[in-house]
Amino acid sequence: MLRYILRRVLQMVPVLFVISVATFLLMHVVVGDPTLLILGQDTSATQQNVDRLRQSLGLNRPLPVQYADWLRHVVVGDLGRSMRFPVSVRAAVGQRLPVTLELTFLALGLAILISLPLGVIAALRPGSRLDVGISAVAAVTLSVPNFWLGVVLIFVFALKLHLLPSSGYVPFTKSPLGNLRLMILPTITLATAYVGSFARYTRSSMLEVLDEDYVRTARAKGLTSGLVLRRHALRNALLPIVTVIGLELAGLFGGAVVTEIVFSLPGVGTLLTESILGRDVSMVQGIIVLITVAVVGVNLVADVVYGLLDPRIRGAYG
Amino acid sequence: MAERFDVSALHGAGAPVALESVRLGERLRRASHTVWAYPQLWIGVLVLLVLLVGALAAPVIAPYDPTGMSAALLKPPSAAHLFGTDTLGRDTFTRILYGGRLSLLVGSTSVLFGMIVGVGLGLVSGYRLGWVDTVLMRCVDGMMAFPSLVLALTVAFALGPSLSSVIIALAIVRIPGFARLTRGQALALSGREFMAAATAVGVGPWRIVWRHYLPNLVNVILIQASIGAGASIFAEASLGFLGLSVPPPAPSWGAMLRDGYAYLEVNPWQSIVPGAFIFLAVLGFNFLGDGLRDALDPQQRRRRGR
Repeated sequence: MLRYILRRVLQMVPVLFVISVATFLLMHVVVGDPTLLILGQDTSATQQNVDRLRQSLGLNRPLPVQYADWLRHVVVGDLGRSMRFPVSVRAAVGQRLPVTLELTFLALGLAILISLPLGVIAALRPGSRLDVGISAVAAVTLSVPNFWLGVVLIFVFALKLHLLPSSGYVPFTKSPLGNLRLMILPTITLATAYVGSFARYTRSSMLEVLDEDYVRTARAKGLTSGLVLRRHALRNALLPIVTVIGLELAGLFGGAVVTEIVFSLPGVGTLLTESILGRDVSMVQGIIVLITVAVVGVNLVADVVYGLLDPRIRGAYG
Repeated sequence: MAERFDVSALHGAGAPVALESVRLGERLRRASHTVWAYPQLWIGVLVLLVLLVGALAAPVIAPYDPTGMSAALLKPPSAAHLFGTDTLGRDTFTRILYGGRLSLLVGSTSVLFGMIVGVGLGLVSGYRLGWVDTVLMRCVDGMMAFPSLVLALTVAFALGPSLSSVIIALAIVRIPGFARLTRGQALALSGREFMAAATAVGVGPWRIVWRHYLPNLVNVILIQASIGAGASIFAEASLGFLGLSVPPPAPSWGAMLRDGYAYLEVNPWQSIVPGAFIFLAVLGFNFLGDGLRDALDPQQRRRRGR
């Protein structure tokens, strides 16, 4: 098991290297000279001032040296300072992170809670009317644009029925009930697409397992269908779903960006969008590094969990 | 809409999906007999056809100028304005038609470019193997760590707001999916007997790729392209909603939705109608992709229990 984990961790290194180079280059080569962004419309800036700023920011050094220097800071968690506000990137993100994490995990939980039973039910009677209905619902939810769903939900539940607040945020620690009330609509908005996606994977995974010899054996030796389902089929069918959830988490975060904007939630997604529109290069760069590292980390955890649950995987790759 | 990764990612090296060496034309002809058996396929085609005709014939159908303003601000739907008017008094029906041009253009071109680069990389990777494969696949893994919307946002931000930068950004997003799918399928193919036979009789690498790999990959690439086009249209709308798609006053469904959102209480039509069209376009491509999968891929169909 240890060898398996070690292998997976080592595999992460080149991926992280690619990500870091891409992020660094994207910002420093394509965006160009950040001194122009910092000095901005300040016409009184002479060439001398520009040169001094470039000197102090270390921009006159060769690119690989700049990259190495940047990476050395990033590795120890120093993501630089915002170009617009007197805060460090880490502090700004840290302040916004709880909102995004809460939204993401609530949506993930809701999606799993609804989709797993749907997928299992559909797989038990393939081709039945129930199966066709569930598959159709899954296909439609996969196509619903989350921001549109959010707008429609706000229109119906907040503006017409006056049941729920339309937007805003209260920390959970300050008012648990108020916080959850505000999170209901964003959670539904973000979760819907994943209900369809997870239900599909659960269904096909379940169908595959039900076709396996060990399920037939269990049935043949006279176990009740409920027992076969719980003990033999379900346990094996849910294994690949762990990986799927890990892989979908990246997309879930992308969806959170838009959802936060729709509901004016002060999360990392809102911060990213504001920083992009305000051309705050160091903030954008820092947020992207954090997101991608988090995604790679989550995929690693998903793989390790998969390996823990399924000895066949450990054997094959260990 | 959820991120949809290719199934080969789940199975590591990639499970062969439909690999019988039957020409696509023949397969399509057979499929056409049973097209009614695949409701997703014809619903998808129908929806896309309606949108395509609306977009192409926009100058003929549209009653107004897409950027022409009037004094009739935020009017509800009426005989004069089928979907009402927006905050600047522009006819929403007209802007929906012209916005469809942008959506379909961005969706199709970004997938086309992403497909050319991705399939190329995947073939090189799956055929050459060795260090080339390792380097390319680590790059693909790195790209996949970016949530696709965040990647699109970043590239669009770096290139500045314009039509070409939106297309480039969304094309880049599509590359890793195609590359991984093609590589997995190419790997599965390379173990087959007819491949070994072709190599044994001295067929060169170009001819092998052109005559043996590509024809066998057409099906899966076609399916991925259709679903990718839906994802691209959704991504363009998301960029528009965040204010990062083509600059105004060009009509973009995502930007229209955002502009209307501020006046949801006064006139909900201005945000709900553009969103409904984004939904339809994404649904059309997703259904087309799912329908093609069902029609072209007997193995998958069996698994789906039909």
